[in-house]
Amino acid sequence: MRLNKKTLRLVLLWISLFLMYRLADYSVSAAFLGAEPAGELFSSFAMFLFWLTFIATLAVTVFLLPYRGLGLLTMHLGCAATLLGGLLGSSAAHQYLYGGRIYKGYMQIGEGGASAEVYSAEGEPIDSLDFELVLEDFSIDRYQEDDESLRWELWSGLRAEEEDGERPTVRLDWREGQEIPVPNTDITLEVLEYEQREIPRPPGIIIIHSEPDDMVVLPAIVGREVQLPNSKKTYTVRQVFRGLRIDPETKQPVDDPSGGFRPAAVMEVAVEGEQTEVAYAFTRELNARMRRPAEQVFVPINKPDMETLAVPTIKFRFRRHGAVREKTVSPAEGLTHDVLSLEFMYEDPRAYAAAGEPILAIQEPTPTIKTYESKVVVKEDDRTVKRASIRVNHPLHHEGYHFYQTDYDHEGHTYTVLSVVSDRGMWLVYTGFVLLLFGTTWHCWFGFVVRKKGKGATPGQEDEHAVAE
Amino acid sequence: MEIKLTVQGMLIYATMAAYLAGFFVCVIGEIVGNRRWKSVAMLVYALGAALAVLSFGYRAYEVQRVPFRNLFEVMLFVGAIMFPLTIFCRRMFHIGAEAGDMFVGAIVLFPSGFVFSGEIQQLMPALQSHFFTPHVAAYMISYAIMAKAGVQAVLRLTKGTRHGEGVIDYERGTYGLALIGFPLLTLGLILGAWWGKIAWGDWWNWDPKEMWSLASWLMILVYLHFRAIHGRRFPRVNSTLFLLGLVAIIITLLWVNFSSLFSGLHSYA
Repeated sequence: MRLNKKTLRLVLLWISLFLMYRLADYSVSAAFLGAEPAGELFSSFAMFLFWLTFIATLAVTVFLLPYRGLGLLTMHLGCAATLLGGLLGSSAAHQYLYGGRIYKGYMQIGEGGASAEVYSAEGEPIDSLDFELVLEDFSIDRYQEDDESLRWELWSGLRAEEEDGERPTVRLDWREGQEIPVPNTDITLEVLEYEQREIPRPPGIIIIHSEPDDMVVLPAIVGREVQLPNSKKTYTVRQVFRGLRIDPETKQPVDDPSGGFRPAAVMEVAVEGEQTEVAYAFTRELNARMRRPAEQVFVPINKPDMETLAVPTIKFRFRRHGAVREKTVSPAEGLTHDVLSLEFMYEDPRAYAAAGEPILAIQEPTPTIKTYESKVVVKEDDRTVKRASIRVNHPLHHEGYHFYQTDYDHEGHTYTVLSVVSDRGMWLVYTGFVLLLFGTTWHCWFGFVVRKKGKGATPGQEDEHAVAE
Repeated sequence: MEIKLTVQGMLIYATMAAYLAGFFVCVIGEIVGNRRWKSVAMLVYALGAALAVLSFGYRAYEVQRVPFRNLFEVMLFVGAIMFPLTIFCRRMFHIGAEAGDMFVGAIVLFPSGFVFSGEIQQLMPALQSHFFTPHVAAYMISYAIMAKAGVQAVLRLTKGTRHGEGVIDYERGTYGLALIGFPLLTLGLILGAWWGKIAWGDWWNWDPKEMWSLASWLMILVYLHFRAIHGRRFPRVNSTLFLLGLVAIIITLLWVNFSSLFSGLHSYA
């Protein structure tokens, strides 16, 4: 049997139709899986074979289509180039084709420091680059907020009795004098009055965790004290360090806020009838390194560009089935959040026990960040080859790698986290994009819509000659 | 459900009212068979469109940037481009069914008017990009065109070949509009992938919204290929295939609102 071109094209079109349908089907399934499993699914060996089939079909199509117009040709060529570029840029290609070249990883560089080491997302070292990045400066710029948006946020949630801990919380969009329902409960709340005053911002708060159910939070302000509810231990803050440095000569701790040192606090612990003890609160990272469970942890809340901390006083009115209660809430001066249990709205705790105890958290708002910026210098053998400012949407490109602003030190703003991504296959993908876009525009707009318009035709009229007819 | 007693809210409601009024006048005109009703409807539609442009402009003035930050804002944009699209398609390609556009215009404004919060949000670093406006605009214009094509497809399925005078038949209308909208759909997809590369380092992150956008692009492609094979031989199949693509588009657009269980990179829109 002679296989004529028309039959071949029909067969090809049906195969393409099937492949496109399959891919659409996989995509929809992947949407339900979530990004990470979807990524794994699409990078599997079976999918690799699917992609190859797809590209092969496109390639055959390209050879059979030329006489059907420039638009169709470039469009299909563009799809093939994009997919091929994607395959060449994949993690598998880096492993098998480029001899284990770094595909993707992260770098953490401290201010004034340099690094060439690339780590995996889990923190395992992968490899080092042939050049070094020096972080000259890291800075954060926030949006100027108006008074309204600097008011504390209200979050509602359920405190669960079981081990699995905190339930999802919902942020409430509140305004004074407006009644709003508290999600997951039959309670409504209304903010009757809201006032706040500003105090100098303390460097942090100290979380004291003596026994599983014996916990308090204390602001890191000298002289402040708190008593644990169960063990009756009293903690008094004696010294606060914005950056704790041990002086090499005197061997004494000194406060050095110049950066690079982590904050800490010294407290006095008094138990009735016993001698007082001294306790240190360090930030979590340091505690982890010291490998002992910390009774007290220092959580920094200082932000280099925010000098004050607001202390709100909120008067609430709660309603539930006709019962009305008013309550005024104000967190201890120097704390950034407070939690109010809504248990008092229920006469019988069994009314809410199944879902968990309803709570209302008030917390300091986080102003939206405008930009993060890492000023870096690229050095090869101690020779400066490039200077760049890396921001989100403005990566640095050097020696086949892109460096993206990904994360930073949320507490002291002293280091940055960059992600490193190899650029293999990039130019083929870009070429594919240009071809695809040119092809679709030419075919759909100029080919049919614009060119034929003058002859009084309608869009798509030229396409009336179906392949199967 | 939230009623917005603000200037913005009033503009949205007035636009919706005008669009709906236009739609009903059009339908009544068709029932009584008087063409004058249609002219009145078009006038009311034009008035609604002026209000929609004002509403979008007011939002832009209020937020001091292109208002494409969330679904509340982009829906205002879609509501404002329906009328120019109607006129453009009628003049250039003889595509009718204006009443459908009025109805679509009212529907797309509904979420902005009653569901989404109009709270002003700042642009986070990832959204501060030259890609922001073209990526969203390409998608929204193409979605509006596809919605118009969807109206044609529904009419083909319900009314068959009984279309009005001076307009092309519904099957051709669907196909023509699909051809007009497809390059923009492709542009939106490409700009999104390119932006992803520049912002996060990956063309593609397998994020649910991305997967749905790919699926909808592919479904429209399936429709175009099927029509390339059979032409107009199976008009009802053509229309149905197109509508499946449109359903995928609607899910793509509203995905985060359908499912808060699947968070992703596009969680802001």
